[in-house]
Parts: sequence; structure tokens; C-alpha cells
Amino acid sequence: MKQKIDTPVNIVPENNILVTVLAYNEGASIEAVINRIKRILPEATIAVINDGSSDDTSEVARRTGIEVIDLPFNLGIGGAMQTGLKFGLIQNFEYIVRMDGDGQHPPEEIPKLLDPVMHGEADIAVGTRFSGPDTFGYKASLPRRIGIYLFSRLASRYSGREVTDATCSFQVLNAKAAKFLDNNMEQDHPEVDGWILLGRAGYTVKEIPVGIEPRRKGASSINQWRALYFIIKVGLTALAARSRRFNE
Amino acid sequence: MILELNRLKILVIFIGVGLISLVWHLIIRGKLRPVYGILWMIVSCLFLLAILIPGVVTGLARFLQIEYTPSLIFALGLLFVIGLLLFQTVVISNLTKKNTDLAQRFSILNWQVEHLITRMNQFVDISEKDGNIFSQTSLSSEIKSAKVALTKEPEIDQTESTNSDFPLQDRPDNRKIGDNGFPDKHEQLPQIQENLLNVGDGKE
Repeated sequence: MKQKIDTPVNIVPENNILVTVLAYNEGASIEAVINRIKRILPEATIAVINDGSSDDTSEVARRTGIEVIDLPFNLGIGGAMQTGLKFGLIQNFEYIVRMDGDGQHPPEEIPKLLDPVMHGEADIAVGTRFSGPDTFGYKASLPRRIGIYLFSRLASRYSGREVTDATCSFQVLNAKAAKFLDNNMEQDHPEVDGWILLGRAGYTVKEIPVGIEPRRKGASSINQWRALYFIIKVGLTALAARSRRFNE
Repeated sequence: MILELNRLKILVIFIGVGLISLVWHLIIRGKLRPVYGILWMIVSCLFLLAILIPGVVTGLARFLQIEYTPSLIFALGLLFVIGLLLFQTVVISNLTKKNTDLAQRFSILNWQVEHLITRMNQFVDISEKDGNIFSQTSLSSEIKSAKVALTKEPEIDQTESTNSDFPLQDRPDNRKIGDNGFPDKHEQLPQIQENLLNVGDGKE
């Protein structure tokens, strides 16, 4: 009997899990991250979303034999994340893991996030760095902590639930939540915006304590000069998310 | 009311008419979309009316209790520029969103095409190794053709393209200049996909 295939290329494994790894100039660290994911989730499909890197991120990722989506130019973190969601939805994955390719999100923590989503306890599970023991020794700088605190207060106030780490991008979503975010998310650092929109739309979001590793190679996309601009931009987006119209 | 023309008024009328003709030419040459041209047309017309009908600007300034009439003209000009900038920003935001969406879809489609080519290569390899199974089927030759069509850049026949005595519609198979003998790659993809799926079903 012919298997039903909705897309020209079917890569959905038995466990229906897609791990999207967002990477921008992460050629130095991407291979190690992929190998660790393969050890933890050998059955899952791994897709690197190469956000217009100018280094050898794409080539290094391709050599590991995983799926690589090359964006033609840099779209930023939100655009890359949305590409991962679109890809997962087009390919009919049921669970989408979203993590960064710089090695800060330890693949060993993915099962903790997958568990509540796969058991139907949450539509989306988001990692938090501040409500449990940090087993990987992550230490955020003071300005960053202040920013995270402010955004978490904002997200708590407008999403209707307590949020301790509103800017963590280590997440697992089911297809329903992924579709909602793909349709409605803002592309400028979408985490805080996502918290508020998902809360307003009645989705179940669960924070799970996870360890975050310190960055080993490369540099953060947010330097001190851009921090203020970042706070204003994300703050404005979050306030707009409070009353913005959205599609179900 | 008789229109008193002085040099300044003539200059302003000249600028207004010039602006309208420029906008019109940009529209008919396809360099300005009519929807955006309308805005400039309206502003140019208002500009002309303000000059041709004396007392309009002065009357409006009096109504708004503006003592120095030229201030009203500057204020209206500034308002128009602010409004136009806001409108343009909305258009840019919309285009940015669409551009992002296109880039995302392009990258996913690119990934799908890469996978399809890899699959086709695999089928052709199998067909070459195991002639009894695949080489007898039409699928094998079709995949080979598709593989060539997808990977080969069309060769443009310069002699043919410059030969005006042999127009496109008169060519025997009505094919386009530079056509490499295979159907258009985009039109061909769905059929290739269907065939690839059918292979697993044992139809071929």
C-alpha cells in the first residue's frame, strides 16, 4: 500500500521529532552540537537553519549528514526561528525542538523539555535558567540579568502566568503551537512577544529548569552598544503583543 | 475673479504642472505604481488650486487664526512629508515581511530540490547497476532526462536568437530559444515527485 506523503521529500521519523538548530557563523561549534544531539536523540531529524552565515557553518553541518536549510541572507534570530517552524510544519512534524547552534543549549536537556509536550501537559515547554540548579555553570552578566528580569516581569504581567526567564530560546513546541507562532510571531527577538501571544491565545506554556552552558566560541549577537536598543525594541514589541490582533 | 499672474505665480504653476507631468510619465513608464502616483497627483493638484484660486490659502490661514500666511504653507508641506514618510515606512515594513517569507520559502524549496536531485541520482545509479529492474522502464529514462534538465544550464543558441526570419511560432516544435529539449524544470517537478513515490508502491 502506498504510504501517504504530503510533501515531496518525507523525512519524518517514527518519533515525529524535529530538532532545529539556529546557526549564524557557528562553524567552530556546530559539529560538536550536532554530534551531541545525535547521541541524545538518535532517531530525531536534525535540521540546521543556517541564517546566512559567511563562514563554513553550512559545509560543516552538511558533512555530518543532517538536513541543512540555507537562508539566502541573514534574517535574524526571529526569521531563522520562523524558518525552522515553517520547515517542521511543511514536513508534518509533531514536535519541534528549537535550540541555538553556539553550544549554549545542552542537547542533554532536550528530553526534559520534550517530556511535558509529548505527554500533552503543555503545548510549548520553555527552558528557564533561573528557577533550578544550573548544572552547567551559566553566569549571565548584570546588565543581561536586569534585562531578563524586566522582560520576565513584562511577560508575567501580560501572559497571565509567572515567567522567570522570558528570553530563553531553548524550547519544544507541538505542531499546534508552532503553527500559531509561525502565523503571529514578531521577528525581532520573538521570545517575550511569544510568551504574551501564547498566553492571550490560551496555549499551555510550561517553564522547565534547564542548565545553560557558557558560550565557548564566537560572540553573542547582542553587544553592550546594542543592549539599550535591544531593550527598547523588545519592550515595545512586547507591549504591542498585549493588544495586537492575532490569527488562531 | 480675474487671476493676476506675476512671475512667482507663473513659476509655481510651472512647477505644479511639471510635477503632474513627471508623475504621469513615471506611471505610464511603469516606474511608479498608480496607487502611489495618485497621492502625488492629488498634492500637485492642490498645489495648483491654491495658486489658481486666490484667497484660498489666506482664507484658510484666517480660519485657523494663523497671522503669517506662509507659515500655513510650510506647516501643510511638513505634514505632507511626515504623512508620506509614515506611509512609506508602512510599505517598507510590509515588504520586509514579504521578503522574509520569500527567503524562508526559497530556502525550504531549495532543500526539497536538493533532496529530489539526490534521490534521482540514487535511482539512476540503481538503474545502471541493475538493468533488469529499471533500465526497461520508462521511469529510468525519464529520471535521466529530468536529472539532465535540472542540472544542466540551458544553452542559448545565438544564431537562432538573432535569426528574425525564423520566428518562435514558426519553429517545428514551437520550442523556446535555449530550450535544451526537456520540459520546463518547474513544470516537470510534480511529475517526477509522483513517479518517485510510485516506485515504492511497485507500480513501475
